[in-house]
Amino acid sequence: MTRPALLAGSVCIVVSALIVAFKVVVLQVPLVPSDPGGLWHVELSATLRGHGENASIRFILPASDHAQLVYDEHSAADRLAWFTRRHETGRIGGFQGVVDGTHRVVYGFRVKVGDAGQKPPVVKTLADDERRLLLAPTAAFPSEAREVREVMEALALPEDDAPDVRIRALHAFVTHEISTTEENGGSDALITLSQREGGAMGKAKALVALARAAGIPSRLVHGLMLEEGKAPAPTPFVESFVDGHFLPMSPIGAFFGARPAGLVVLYEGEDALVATSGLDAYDLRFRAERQRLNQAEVAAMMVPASSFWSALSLYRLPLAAQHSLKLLLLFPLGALVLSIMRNLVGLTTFGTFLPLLLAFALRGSGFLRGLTLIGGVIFIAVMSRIVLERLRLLIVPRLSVLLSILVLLITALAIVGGTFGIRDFFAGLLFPIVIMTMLVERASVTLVEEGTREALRVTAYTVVIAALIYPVLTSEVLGDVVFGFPELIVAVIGVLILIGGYSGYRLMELTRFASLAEPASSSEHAR
Amino acid sequence: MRRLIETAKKLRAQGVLGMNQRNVDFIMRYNRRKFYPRVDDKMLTKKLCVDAGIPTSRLVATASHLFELPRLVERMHETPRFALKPARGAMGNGIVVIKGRDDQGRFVRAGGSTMTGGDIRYHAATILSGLYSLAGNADVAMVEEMLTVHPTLRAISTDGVPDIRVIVFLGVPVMSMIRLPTTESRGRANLHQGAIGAGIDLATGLTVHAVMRNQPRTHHPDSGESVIGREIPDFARVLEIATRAADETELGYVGADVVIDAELGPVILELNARPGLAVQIANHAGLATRLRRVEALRGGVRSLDERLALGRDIAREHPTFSRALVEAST
Repeated sequence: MTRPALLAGSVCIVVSALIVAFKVVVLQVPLVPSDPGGLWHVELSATLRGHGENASIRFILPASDHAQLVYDEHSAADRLAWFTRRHETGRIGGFQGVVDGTHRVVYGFRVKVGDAGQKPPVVKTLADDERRLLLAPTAAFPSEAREVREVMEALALPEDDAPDVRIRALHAFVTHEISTTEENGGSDALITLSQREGGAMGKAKALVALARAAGIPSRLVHGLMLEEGKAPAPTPFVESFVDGHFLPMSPIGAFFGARPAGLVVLYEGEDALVATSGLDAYDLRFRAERQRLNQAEVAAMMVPASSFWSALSLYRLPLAAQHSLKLLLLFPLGALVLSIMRNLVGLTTFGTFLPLLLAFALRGSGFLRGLTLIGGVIFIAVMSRIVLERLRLLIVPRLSVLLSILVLLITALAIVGGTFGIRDFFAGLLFPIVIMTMLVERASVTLVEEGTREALRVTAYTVVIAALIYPVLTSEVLGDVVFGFPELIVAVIGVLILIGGYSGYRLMELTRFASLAEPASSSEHAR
Repeated sequence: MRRLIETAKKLRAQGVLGMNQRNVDFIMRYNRRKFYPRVDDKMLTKKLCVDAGIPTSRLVATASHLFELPRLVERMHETPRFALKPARGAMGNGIVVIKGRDDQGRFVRAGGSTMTGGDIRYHAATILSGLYSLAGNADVAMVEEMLTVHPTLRAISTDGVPDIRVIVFLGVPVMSMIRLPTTESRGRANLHQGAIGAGIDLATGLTVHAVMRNQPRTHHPDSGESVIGREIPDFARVLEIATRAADETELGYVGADVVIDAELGPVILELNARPGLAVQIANHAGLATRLRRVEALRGGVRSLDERLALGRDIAREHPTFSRALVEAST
C-alpha cells in the first residue's frame, strides 16, 4: 500500500470517528433513536343501550405515578357529552346525555409504563385517616368475618413478627393454598376463603381482608396487563403498606414487591370499574396497541441541542426526503461489502455494481421471492434474446426490443405479484431495468463465448454478493445510524481507500495458486 | 484460518503475484492510462507494429460502418482462411476463426461448426455495435488472414493456432507460456475454456511445466503427445519481437501474444495491458520475484540485446523444478 493511500484512508477513518465521538459524548446524541419500550395506546370502548332517558356512564380515570406516565387523553362519543370531575381518590370521567338505542363511546390515553422491577417510592408514614381507611373491614374486605379469623388462627402468625414477614406469609398462603380458577372464578373474599379456590379478584380481596386482619394497611388495585399481540388482561392485585411504602403483590403469584413490565394501574378501591345510571345495558371492551415514537419525537431525540450541529442534522429535513436519504446513505455501505467481496475475497460479477442494484431491487420483495422472480425474468429474457438473435437486428433496436420484453414480463409479474401481495417489488425494479437489459446482453455473450459453466459461476457470485448486501440495505439499525451520523460515510471512504491500496492476495487466489505454494514433485506429473 | 495464512505466507515466499498486487504495484504504477488505447485497440497496435517493422498477421479488410459490411463479407469470401475480430474486444470475445468452406460453400469455423454469409455478416454487425468491446462503444470489425500452425507444434494443437504469451516488464521479458488449443477449448487458445498452458523456460526455449484447467498435465489430451520438454521454434525471435512491441507501447507492464506462423515466423497477435496471472500456474513459478529483480536493476537504458539477456539470466536465477526433470529425461 502506498503511504499516501494509507494516510488518506486513516485520516478519513479518524476524522469520522472523532465527529461521531463528539456527537455521542459531548452532544449526547443517541446512536440510534431508541425504541422507548413500554409505550402504549389504551382504549376503553363501551356500547351503551337505553330507551330515551338521561343516562350516564362514569369511571375513575388512570393517573400517573412512579411507574407510569399517563398523557394524551382523548374521548369520542356518539351524541353524548364527555365530562370529568375531581373525586376523593382522583379524577372521574364519563359520558352523559340522552341514550336512545345504542351509542358507542370511547375513552383513550397514551401511557408510558416503567420497566419491570421499579421499586415503589418510600412514603414514610401514612396519614391517620388513610391508615384507618386501609385497615377498616368493609363489605368487600370483611377482615372481621369468621372465615378470616379461622384462617388467621390456623396460620398462627407470631405476634412479634415484623409486618414484612407476616405479609409474605399471607401472600404465600393466598397464592399457594388457595387454588386459582379461571377468569370467571369466584370474586368474593369469603367464598374464596371457605372454598379454598377463587379467581384472581376473589383471591385479591381475600388477601386484602387477611392483611387488614393482621393489622397491615392494604388496598385492592385494578390493573391492566398489556402484552403485544394479546388483548389487555384485567389484573387485580394488592398493595400493602409495609416499611414505609406500598408493596405491590399479585394474589396469583405473578409478582411480588414491584410491578411487572406492561402493567398499567387503572384505579384502586373496591368499586367496580364503571358506574352507570339510566342505561338498559352496556358492554365494555379494552384495546391496547404498542406505540412507536412519531417522527417529531424521534427528531427531538436525535437533533443535537447545539444550534450549529442541529442545523446539520438530517432529522430536520422533510419526511419524504428523510426516507430516500436514509436508503441513499446505505449505498456506500453496500459498495463496501461489494469491494470486500471483489478485492479481498476475489469473486467476479456481472457488471461492477450489479449486485448492489440487485440487492436494492430485492428490498421490496424479500430476498428469495424477489430473486426467484428476477431469475425467472432474466431466464426468459435470455431465451428471448437467443430467439431474437435469429432475426439479425441492429443492436440498439434489438436492445430496445429486449427492454420492451423485460417491461412486459415485469408487467405480467405485477399482476401475479399483486395476487402474492408484493407491492414494493416493482418500485425497486423500475430503476435497474435498463441495467437488467445490459445484463441480459452480457450474460448471453458470456453464455455463448465462455460456456454455461462460466456463466453460471459468475451468476452465482453475483447473487452471493447481492445476498450479502441485502441485509445491509434492509437493516433499520444501520439506516438509523448512518442517518444520524452521515459522517460515517467518510469512514467508509477511508476503509475503501485502504481496501483499494491492499496489494495482498485475494482469498480465492489462495485456492487458485495453491499448487504454487509447494515446489511440485515429479509425481504430480502423472498423467 | 491458520491454514489460509500459512498458504498466503508460502505463496509470498514463492513470489506468487496476486491480482491486487499486480494492479496496485505494477499496472497502476507502470502503465499510464493514456497509452492504453495502443493495446486495447488492435488496429492501433497493428499500426504501431507495422511502423516499427515488427511483423504482425496480415490485415485483409476492416469495417467501421454498416455500409462497409458488404465489402467486408466479399473480402471474407475471397480469403480462404481468416479471423474476424473486434478491434477492441476483451479476453478473446467475439473472435470468429474460419478455417475453410464446406461442400455447400458455407464457412467452417475452427471447432467445426458452420456459418452462412448472412451469419458472418450479422456477427460483423454485432461487432460494430460494440457488444464485445471493452467499454461497450462502437467498434471496428477486422479481418485478418489466419495464421498457420508451425509444423513442430501441430501435434500438440487441436483445431486452432497456439499462441505464446510473453510478460514484458520495463523492457525485459520475464516469463512466458504457450497456450495450446484442445478439443475441449474448441480450438481456442484460451485457458479458461480448457486450453493447455505450458510454461516456457526463457533461457532454453523449452516447455518445463503444463496445466489444463489448473491441473498439471504432461501430455496433450487429444494427441497424447508430450507437452513437456518441447522446444519452441524460433523462441529467441519470439522474445525479441514481444519486447520490441512492448517498447513501442511505452507501457511498463505488458503481456504480448505472439503466434509462430509456418511461413511468416513469429508475429505479434495482440498486446495486453492487464495480462492475467495464469502464466504463473503454467510455469509453476511466481512472477513477483522476477519483477522485483527487474525493478531493482532499472536505471540506465539498456540495449535490446542486454535486456533480452537479462531476462534469460533472471530465468536462470529462478529455475523451476521442472528443468531438472526435463534435463533428466533428455
